[in-house]
Amino acid sequence: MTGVDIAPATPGPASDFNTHDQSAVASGVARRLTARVSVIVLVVVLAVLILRPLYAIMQEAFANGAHGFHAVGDIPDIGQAVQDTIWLALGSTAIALVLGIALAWCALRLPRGFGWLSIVPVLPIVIPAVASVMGWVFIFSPRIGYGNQVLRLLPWWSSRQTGPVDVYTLPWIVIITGLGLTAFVYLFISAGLRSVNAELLEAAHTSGSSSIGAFFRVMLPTLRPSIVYATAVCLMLALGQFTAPLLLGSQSGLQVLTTEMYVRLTQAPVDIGAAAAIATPLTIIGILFVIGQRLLIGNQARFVSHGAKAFRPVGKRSPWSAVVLAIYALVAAVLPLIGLVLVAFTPFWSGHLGGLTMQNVSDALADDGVISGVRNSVSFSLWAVLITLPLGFVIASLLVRTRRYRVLRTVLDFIVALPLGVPAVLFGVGFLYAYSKGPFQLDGTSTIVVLVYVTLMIPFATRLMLSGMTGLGSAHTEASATCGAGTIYTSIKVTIPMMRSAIGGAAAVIFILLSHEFAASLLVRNINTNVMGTVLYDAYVNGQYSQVAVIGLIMTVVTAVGLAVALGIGGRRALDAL
Amino acid sequence: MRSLGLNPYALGSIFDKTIVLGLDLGRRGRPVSPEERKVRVHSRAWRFTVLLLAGSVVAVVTGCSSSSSPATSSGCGPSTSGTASAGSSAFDQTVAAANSEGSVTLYTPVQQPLVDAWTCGFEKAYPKIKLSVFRASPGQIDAKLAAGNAGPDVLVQSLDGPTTTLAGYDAHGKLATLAGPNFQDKDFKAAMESPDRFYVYATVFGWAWNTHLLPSGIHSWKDFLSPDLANGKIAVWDPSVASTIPGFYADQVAASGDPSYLKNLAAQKPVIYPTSEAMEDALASGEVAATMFASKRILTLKAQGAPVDFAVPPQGAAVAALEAGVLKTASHPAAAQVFANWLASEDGQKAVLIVGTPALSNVPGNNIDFATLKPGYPVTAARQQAFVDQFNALFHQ
Repeated sequence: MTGVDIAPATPGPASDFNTHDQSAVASGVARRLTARVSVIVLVVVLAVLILRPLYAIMQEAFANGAHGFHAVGDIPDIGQAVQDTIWLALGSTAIALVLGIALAWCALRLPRGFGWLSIVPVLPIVIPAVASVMGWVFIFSPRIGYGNQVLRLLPWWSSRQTGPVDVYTLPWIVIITGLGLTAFVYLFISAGLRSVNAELLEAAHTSGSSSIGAFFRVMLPTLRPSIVYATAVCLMLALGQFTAPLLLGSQSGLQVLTTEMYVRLTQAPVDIGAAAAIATPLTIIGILFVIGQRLLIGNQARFVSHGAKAFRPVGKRSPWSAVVLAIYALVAAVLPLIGLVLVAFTPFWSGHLGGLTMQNVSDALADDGVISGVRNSVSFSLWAVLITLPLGFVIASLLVRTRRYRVLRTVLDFIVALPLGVPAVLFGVGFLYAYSKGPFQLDGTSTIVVLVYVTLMIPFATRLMLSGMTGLGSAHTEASATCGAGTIYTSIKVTIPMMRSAIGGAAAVIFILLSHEFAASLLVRNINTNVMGTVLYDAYVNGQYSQVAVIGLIMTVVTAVGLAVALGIGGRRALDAL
Repeated sequence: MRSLGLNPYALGSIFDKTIVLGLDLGRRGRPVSPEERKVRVHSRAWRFTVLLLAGSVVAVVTGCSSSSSPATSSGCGPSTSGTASAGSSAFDQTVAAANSEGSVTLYTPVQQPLVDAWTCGFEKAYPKIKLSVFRASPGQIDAKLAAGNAGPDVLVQSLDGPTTTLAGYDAHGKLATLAGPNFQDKDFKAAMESPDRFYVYATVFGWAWNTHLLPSGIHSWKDFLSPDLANGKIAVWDPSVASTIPGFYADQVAASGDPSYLKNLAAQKPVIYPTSEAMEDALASGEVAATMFASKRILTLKAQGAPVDFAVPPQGAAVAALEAGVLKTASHPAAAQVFANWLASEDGQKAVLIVGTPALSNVPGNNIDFATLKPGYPVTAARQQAFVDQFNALFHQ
């Protein structure tokens, strides 16, 4: 047939090829643009969530011609509060460093069959701080504390009517805080010790060095980045300590900066500017810490000592290591729990062990306020976990797997790390200011509590996901990409299934940390949004010590369940990624 | 479907299907040794058990509904005033509207036993209305109200917080006119400060001591300066929690006749508490030996067997009076009116006996005339701050 154009079988002229190529290019551009916009939206959302409360603090502090700072200057004992804060930070950090390094060293030298003791130094993290502090009160209250009564049986203290330990004094606040921070130092140093090769120590011994000399001349310098990082983290945490000073310092009028801030916010006459002014230096220090953290770590490669031969961990096994860890567990974890149990199961706290009773427990479990506190804690924590885990996954994916958006990733990295450096109580204050007025009034709602929890846990979720992704390597995701799968498909079908254990462990760890959150909750809570920690505090303020003890035990049980889940899913190393 | 016995991994495959979270990474394709299968099954069984346990705990806790009535109340007896006063059809309509609203929120610093008694008694009288109580110090309530918190329907507040006293609210037209018939009762006339607010009760603060630690007791203000009570044996009240407390300390100085009384008291190194309840419980437990800020509640503890005793200072006791009002911004205005009316009823006033003196005359069991009590008034914010600074300089160790 003539007059009919038949398309040629061979590739057509240049115009057809350009059309196909142009549409592919256009769709690629659109995809990249969408991806970039998505990343920008994520960064903006996180910036608003994390930076807005901190900005609100600064705004209040500098309002009305920096009236807040003038008001702080007029507080007569603000100088003493600053001094006590510094003593608390330095003293507790020193205690935590010494104990943490010693315990980490002992954990590596545990005899066979006692490996489970390596989890012991981490227990104080998972025992709620507010419950632990109350346990110490029941043990070492100067007159009727059970521990003091036992100590007064000793001949050299038998003439005393109080003490010898007074838990309401600064030295003991420092000791209790230091015991709590020891767990963090232990985690950091343990991770560092696992990177040290025994061959270095053997070389030192071979060259004539003693064990002590090798420890100080070889081991400690090799651990320098871990020690520096641990010191910086402990200092930050100690500066922002709120629970122990609030519960133990009020009886003697002892104040630190965080409790001064709390007083300015919660007692008449309210001085929001002064509270913000007190919070400002802590906020700035926290921001500087996060920036400095990146610079301090620096090039870590020069401290890694894996040699050409197979890696061997340091230290010979020693039964004394088990003894040291057991003593620490007894003092730091078991003793406060004993205090809680004794008061919970006696009719009232009087320092005497009268007939045991379940009445306090049944009263507490029948108390509307206690049950709603437990329910709120669990539900707010679960909601925060549901929101934080996907966020953490997306952030970790961007930080680990993406090579593009260098500026956005740097900003994202900084924003996400901020809540680690800024004390939780400041975020409570910031959220209170930021969301009690303006277009988003969330004061008194469950939403603000969940938002605070999400903000506090974003760095933990990100770190836990980062650890999981780093451990996976990139072979599987690259294979998936090679087969044509997109990022989302690869994440859903490859990465997430392979990270189930890590995700499950992360969920459990975040739940543990949130279920006993106290500092920020105390500031944003309202009549219907009390959590376990705030219910316990209210009972303490009103002298209802039996109820305090029961609630403390309930909190411990809830977090213990979370810990069991974390260990069950992630194994003994579930908490290492913290 | 593989059958048991032909594939050593079949047991694991079936077990996988029963687990919500699949924890195996899909190695079904290759045969496994009995030892490896045992390890995997054991590991999965352990993880499944842990998850089941955790899930059960979470389900139980989150599924727990709150108790229909709190079990900790101590004053919830049978209701005598009924659900509403008879012969008030307008108020019956208010009660009907309140039942529709279903809840009322109270902000108050009153002691927990009284909160429990009010909650139990009110919800017994009006089963369709739930009473939610936010309990905090007067200062904390002031802070919440100053921040513009729109939470409360009813305020029962001490004569405190110069910026947010009920008198101040009344003066600024923020209180609703009280509508309940009990406010027309002649026995309640003395308690009415205005058509919009009323006295609920007054608390008398007196001397209390632990009879084991201080068998001789307290008989004068100077007894608090005895060496027997040095070094942490006295409980004192933190003046920053309420602006009536500086007045109490001023009254003590005047009653003692010693201008240096405060300084000498500070030298005893007393222990500072935020609430009178905490002081009373510390006294009963033996943590401290004496206090000058004990309320009538100490007599309840004494009746329960606590080794404590109580005395009213001969020069007169410190008195804290509490007023109540319904806010115009109440989210549940009808329920607020019903609760306020119930507070003024005999039931509401009888409950007060566990901690203080009711404002209603002729309440059975009361032997103090409210009209004879002179409550302490709050000082200005500036004066309170000045006293707090002085107190901190003297008393902080």
